[in-house]
This record gives sequence, C-alpha cells and structure tokens, in this order.
Amino acid sequence: MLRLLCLCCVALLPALSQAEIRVSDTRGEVVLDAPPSRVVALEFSFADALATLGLSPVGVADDGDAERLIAPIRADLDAWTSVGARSQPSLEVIASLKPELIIADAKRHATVVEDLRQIAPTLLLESYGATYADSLQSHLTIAAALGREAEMAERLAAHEALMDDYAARFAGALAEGDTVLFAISSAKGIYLHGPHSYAGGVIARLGLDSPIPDATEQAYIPATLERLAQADPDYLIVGEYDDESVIDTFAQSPLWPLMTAIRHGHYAQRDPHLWAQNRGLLPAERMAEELAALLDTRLAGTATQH
Amino acid sequence: MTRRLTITAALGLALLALAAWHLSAGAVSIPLTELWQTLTRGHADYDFILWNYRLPRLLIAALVGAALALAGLLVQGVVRNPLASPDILGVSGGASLAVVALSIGWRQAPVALIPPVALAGGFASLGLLLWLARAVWHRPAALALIGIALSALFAAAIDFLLTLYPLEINAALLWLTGSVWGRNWSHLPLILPWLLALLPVACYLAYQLDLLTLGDDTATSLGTRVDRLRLVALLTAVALTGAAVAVCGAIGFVGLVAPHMARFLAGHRHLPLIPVCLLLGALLLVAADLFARILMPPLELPAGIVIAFLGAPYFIFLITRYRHW
Amino acid sequence: MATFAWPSPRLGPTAGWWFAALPALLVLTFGLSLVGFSSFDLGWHDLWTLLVAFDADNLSHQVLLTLRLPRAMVAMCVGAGLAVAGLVMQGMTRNPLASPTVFGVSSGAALAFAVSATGLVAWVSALPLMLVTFCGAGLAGLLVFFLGGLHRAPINPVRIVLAGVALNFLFLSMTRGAVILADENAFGVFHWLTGSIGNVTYAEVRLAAPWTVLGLALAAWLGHDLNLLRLGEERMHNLGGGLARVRWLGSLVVILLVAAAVSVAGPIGFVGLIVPHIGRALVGQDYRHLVPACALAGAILILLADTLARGLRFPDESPVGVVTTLLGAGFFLFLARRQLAEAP
Repeated sequence: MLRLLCLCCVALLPALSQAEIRVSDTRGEVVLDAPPSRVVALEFSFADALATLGLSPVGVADDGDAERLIAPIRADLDAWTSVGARSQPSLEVIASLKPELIIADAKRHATVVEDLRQIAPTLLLESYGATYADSLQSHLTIAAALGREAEMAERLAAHEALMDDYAARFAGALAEGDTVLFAISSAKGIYLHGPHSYAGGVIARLGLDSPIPDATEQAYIPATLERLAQADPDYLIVGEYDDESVIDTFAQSPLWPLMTAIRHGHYAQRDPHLWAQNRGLLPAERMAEELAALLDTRLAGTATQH
Repeated sequence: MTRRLTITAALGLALLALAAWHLSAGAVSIPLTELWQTLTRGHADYDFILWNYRLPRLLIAALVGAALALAGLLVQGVVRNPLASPDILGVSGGASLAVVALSIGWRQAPVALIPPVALAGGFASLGLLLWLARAVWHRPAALALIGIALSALFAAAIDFLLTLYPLEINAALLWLTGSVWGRNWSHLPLILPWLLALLPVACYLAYQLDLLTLGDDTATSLGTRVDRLRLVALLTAVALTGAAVAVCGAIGFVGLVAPHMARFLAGHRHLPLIPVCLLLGALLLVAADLFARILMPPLELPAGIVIAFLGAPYFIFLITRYRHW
Repeated sequence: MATFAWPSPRLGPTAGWWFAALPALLVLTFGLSLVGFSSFDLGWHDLWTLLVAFDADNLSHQVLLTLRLPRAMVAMCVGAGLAVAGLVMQGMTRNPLASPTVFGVSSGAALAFAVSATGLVAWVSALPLMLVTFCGAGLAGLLVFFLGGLHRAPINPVRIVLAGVALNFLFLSMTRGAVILADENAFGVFHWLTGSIGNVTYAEVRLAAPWTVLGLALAAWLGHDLNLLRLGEERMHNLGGGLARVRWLGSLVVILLVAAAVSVAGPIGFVGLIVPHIGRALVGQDYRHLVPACALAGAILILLADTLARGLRFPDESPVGVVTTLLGAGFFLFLARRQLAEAP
C-alpha cells in the first residue's frame, strides 16, 4: 500500500517540475508533451485502466467482438472503434484514429512497437499472461501517462481498502486451511489457474489459499477430474467457455459428489471472460464480489449453483 | 519467344494493378486519386498508412513470394517431381522450431534476433537433411521422403514445446502459419539482398537444370556435374526459403503452386521460367496479404491461411490433372 | 522415381511365441496404466481389493472405476484402431509409410473439431462434437482416397504420399487459423489437438468400442485379400482377387477406425505408422496374423504412452499424443532411411 503511494509520488515529481510527462514502461522512458485525450488500448486490461479514470479510449483491440470486454467496463466507456484482434491489431485503423497515446502489450506487440511509435507515443506494458501485481503496476503507469496519477492513487487506495475489507470478511467466514480454486473449462479440457495466474493472484490478495502448491510455476495447469479431485478445493469456481464443456461430464461422474466443494455446495460457474481475460481493477473487484457471494453464504444468501 | 514476353509483361501489369489495389484497399480505404497524391506529395491522413504500413508490406510480400517461388522452381528442378516444394525439405520446420525454442527459452529476446535465428534453424535443418540423406544423395525422391520425415519430427518437437508452455501458443501459431502483419522497412534488408544475390545463381543454374530433366546420365554426358548441381541448387533454394521464413514465418504452398502455374504458362525451360515464376510468387503473396486485410476488417488474418485457401484448390486441380506418374 | 520395396517375406519362427506373449503384455500394461502415476496413492493392492471386495465409499476404488478404467479402455480402442487402420492403409497402398497421420485423415478430424470448438461457425458448433469429428475424418479420408488415385489401378505410391502431405498441410493451416482467431480460449483446443485421453468417460467407451470392434473384424476378414494384394495388383487379379472390393472395404475400415479413434481422443499421431512395422517384425508378413498382432501391439503402445504422458511432468498431465508423436516422428525418419537403403 505504502509502496504504491511512494511509487505514485515518484511518478508525480517530474510532472510537477515540467509541463511534459515522462513515464517508464517495460522498454524505457516515454515522453508526452501534454496529457493525451485520444487513447488506443490494445489489451482489455488497458481499457479497464482507462475506464477506472473515466476516459473512453477511441480504439480498442477487442478481437472484433465488443462483448469480450466485461459489461461493467463497457458500461463505463463510450462507443469505441475496434482496431482488430489483440494478436494482430490493424495499424492502419489505429493511425486513422489519430491517437495521442497507444497502450500496447509487452508480449504481443513488441514486434510492432517501432511502427506504433511513428503513429503516437506508445506505452509497452504487461498484460498478456500478467499477474495481479503486474496489472496494478500497469494501471499506475497508464495514469501517470495521462497526468492523473493522483486520481489513480486514490482509486487504487479505495481498491486496496475494498480488497482488505473483503479479505477481513473472508478471514472471518472461512475455516483455517480452506482453499479456493478457479478453473477454466472448455470443450475438451480443463485448466486450473494456479497461484501464478491472474485469478490466482486475486484469490491470494483476498487472503485465500490455493490448493495448488505455490511452487507450481505454470500459471494454467491442464488437468483431469483426477487432478481436480486430488487438489480437492473447499471452494470451486469454474468459467465455462462453451455450453457443453468438460465440467458437465465431470458433474455426472460418481467421483464428483465426493469432492469437498460439491458436498458443501461451494461450487459455482462464473463468466470466464471476467475471471480469465479481463485483467484489471474492476474485474478484480467483481471477482471479490462473486467470491463473497460464494464463500460467505450467511451474508449473501444462497450461492448460485448449477 | 514473343508469347513468353507477352505473358511476362501481362503478369507484370497484373502485379502493378494488384499492388495499386493492395495500397488503396483495407480497413481504411484510400481512393485511387488520393493514393497518387499521397505517393507524390504526401497527405496528412494517409501518410503513415501508405508509407509506413502498406507500402513496406506490399514490397515484403512481393519479395518473399518471389523468393519462395524461385526456391520452389529450383527444388522441383532438382527433385524432378512437380509436387515437391521447399516446405517438404524440412527447412521451414527447422526455422520454425528454432524461433519457437527461442521465444520459450529466452522470454526477453530482442525482436531483431528472430530473423537470424530462423535462418540459422533453416540451415541447421538442411545440414541435418544432407547428413541423414548422405547415402541416398543421388536419389531426389529419397531426399524428399527424408525431408518429409524431418518436417514431421520438427512439427512434433514444436507441439511438445507448446504443450509445455501454453502461453506461447498464439504467437507461435502465428509464426507457423506465416503472416506479413507488422513487417516494416526494417525487414526489407533481410530479404532483398538474398534475392538479389541468389537470382544470378539461379539463372546460372537454369541451363543445367534443363539438362537434368533429360535424366542424370544424359546430363552427365553433356558435361554437367550432376551432384554438384544438385547441391548448389538445393543450397540456393534453402537460403531463399530460409530468408523468406525468417521474415514472414512458415508460409506454405507458394513454392509449390507458383512454379507450376509458371510451367503451365511458359513451358519447361528454366531460364524464361524464372521471371514468370518470380512474378507469380509475388502476385500470390500480395493477393494473400491483401485478402488477409480486407476479408474481415479490422481483423487481420495471417496471410498463410489465405495462401492455403488460394493454393489448396489449385493443388487439388493439379493432382487430379497430372498424368505423368 | 524410387519404388518402395517391402522387406523380403519371411515368417518369423517366434511368431507363435509372440501370440502368447502379446496378450500377457497387454494385461500387464493395462494394470500398469490403471495404477501408474496417480495424484492419489494408487497401488496394485487397490486393484486387488477392487476386484475381491469393492467398496463404493473407497475413494481409490472410485478413481479406478470411474476414471482409470474408461481411460484404459479408450486407450485400447484407440491404439488397436489406429494401428490396424495404419496396417490396412499400408497394405492397400503397398506403401510402408502410409498412416492416418501422414495422409491427413487425422488432421481432417482435427480441423472439424477446431472449427466446432472455437465457435467460429455457429451451426457446426451446434452439432454434437463427436459427430463433427467423425464427419471430418470421413471427409478427409474420402479426399485422400480420390486425390491419391486409389479409385483406379495401378496406384502410384509417391502420388498418394504427396497428396496426403499437401492435404495435411491444408488442414493444419486452417486449424491453426481457427485457433489463432479463438485467441485465449485456445489452450484447451490446442491440448486436444495433440491428442489426449485425460478426460474420457464411459460415454466415450460406448461410442468408440462398437465401431472399433466392427472395423477390426472387417480388417481381419480382409486379411486374405491384403495378402494377395501384397503380391501386386496384377498377380492379385490373376489369382481372382477383387481389387476394387479390397480398396473400397479397406477405405471403409480405415475411415471407421480413424474416425472412432479421433472423435474420442483427438488426432493421436503416428501410432498407425509405427505399430504395423513392429507387427511385421514380430509375426511376419501374413496379414491374417498381422491384424490381431497389430491390434494388440497398438493397444499396448497407447497404454504405455498414456502412462508415460502422465509421468512426464507428474503431477501435471501431458497429452498422450505428444509422446506418440515424438516417438513416431523419430521412427518415421528411421523408417524412411531404412526403406531407401533397401530400395534398389
């Protein structure tokens, strides 16, 4: 918390001393003449950062489908122009939007950053495969680039307070050693999101334990019912990508009711786009809210069950 | 002779027309009149799109397509089977494996490292191929067969790496399919010198490849050193393919289809075939990149998929029509 | 153009011995795959107590019965089916490099799956997944059949290899395209595309088993005709064999077996290439012996490969296809070189 504030202050200092804005991204320093108002976001989490500050991006790489951004973020933003897929955004559309700032992903867009810089100053930040801590850091950097770090620091402080609040509630509601696990289920496989994934990071931030050992380096762990039953989380949240996915066949197995989470009704299906793809503040808060509904049955009434 | 000239000229014109279409069409369309103005005097709205996005892509697509087509012509001349192509020699597979291994083994690897690594992978796989096939070196079909097996091995290794590191899947698949997206002026020096240097070599080999079509014995009696010819021609083809793959990823089918269309249009002598083949290769990849941008705007498809769609029906036509089994 | 010669026909003196050993080996690997590399502490004694005193509340028993048993059964179906499909393909084309993977039949099914699973074409996604992959394998099989020139005699071995390679490439590019467009939910799709039997249930057993048994029976019945075909199309004709019948029925067998295997397990690579060669080394050239021997050896191979795949990064699972593909591609290379060394 303190560290974050200090970071904000450090980022704030140069902004006070001169008119131009200097921020550091994963590649080095980016200099902006004035706070930009026309911004293009090439990953979902960057759109979330902009939504947090109430600034609507002019263009978003939304894979041609606006619905891939979760509804709460969409609600905060004006209509934007799609600039194509996140893996291969269309630079001509980006150029035609005449942006003043482009926020690109350090992993996906490293090859085109020089081209992007010819269109507008470009921030190269962590998003694809990023952890919860990475995404908070990216939020701060984006706010600094917009010259609104104080506002973001305030928002982050509120976020931290909210997360602390949830953590305190969970600490009261859960027994010692209870574990929470999020998994993605698609047509032919299930992936457990371990401590090094974004969802795992949020779960850990809320003071909850993962049934997957911390040492597991992989963020997403391909699994079978056997592995899931062995992990045996006390609370299980599953994001289902298709109507008919592996988790449905698991649910029919005689082994399914033997799992702790199922026995106690601590199982829910949630939006995979929220839990796995939109990395940011709003999504983290939404996830905490959904966890509260599942964990703290006394407060939230009955959990949604499938 | 005049027929060949007419065909070459017609293909050149077609390429020019396609180039104009490539430059003007896209998610942001530039009217042809504005296009000319932007090219000559500049235009505030279209300068970046034209000069820094479409024009370098157009040139790179044309050069890579030409390089792949030329490589295909050489390989088919050596293997003497019209269904052979540089892809089946395992060169693309080796280059791809090197790139995937690089991106997994060294996360922070500079982007500029990718082309040389791909090239090194391509040559390493050629070395492996030559070593594995050293006993059957004089039998081109045998070479092709070992190349196919080698490609399968590389593909297996790539699959293995990707199951271990699923986060790399998307980027790796883009590479494996081949794409012209995000290629800019800095990529031009990676392909142009190779093409300029190896084109004269290919022209020099053309006459000897003509002799080779008469059979090894006839070619030898006419003074061709057959083994050396094969080695030089294959090395040239691999260098061309390696350079192309290093720039655009493993784009298939161009090296297979373009030489065929060329033979269909301009006969079987290699020297006049070369310009026709270059033009056809360029046409194919420019068309693929154009359609990749305009089919589902603003989504950009990888050009390799479009090539597969353009090339596969032609290939199927080819395989049913070919009579000289 | 080089011709691909068969190794000289010889009847292994140890063939009979192998027919006793293979079933024993199968039982052993079956047991091993049931208890090997589990996140739960499974051992042979659990298997024993399951047999003599089943207890519904015993977690180990439940794991064995509801997860491991169907998994092993699917492994056997898939292994036997793919191996015999490869054998029949090699017999029909008289090309020792023929197999469902090399000829693009598996990648056809994979493409169908990828299109369905990524939801790019709505009406395809609405169909049951199994049906879609079944149709994909069938269509790809028919395409290879016609493009390879199997419908007319005599066939050219190089033509069919090149047709297969090109089709394989086409399907692969399209599959990759679908996966790229699906972006982040591509993980699961890719996992399946390498061939995995980690999440099978009795439903998959019920789907695959009848078709596999039917295909195996048909293949056994074709054994004599395949023996005749081995002598050459002309000789076969003179001896009164029906070339057209062998090819149509053979193709039917291949499509049945491959489609059944791929629709439950994904395109597990190279089993159909390796096993027939192992079979020939064990029991000789007679197809009437080869069909059962390959079925057994194929089942053993997949059971072993699946156990190995579980152990590779224990406790995480790897798809079984990764193991067979790595083994198989190396074997393919070895085979291509040996074939060429033996050819005139």
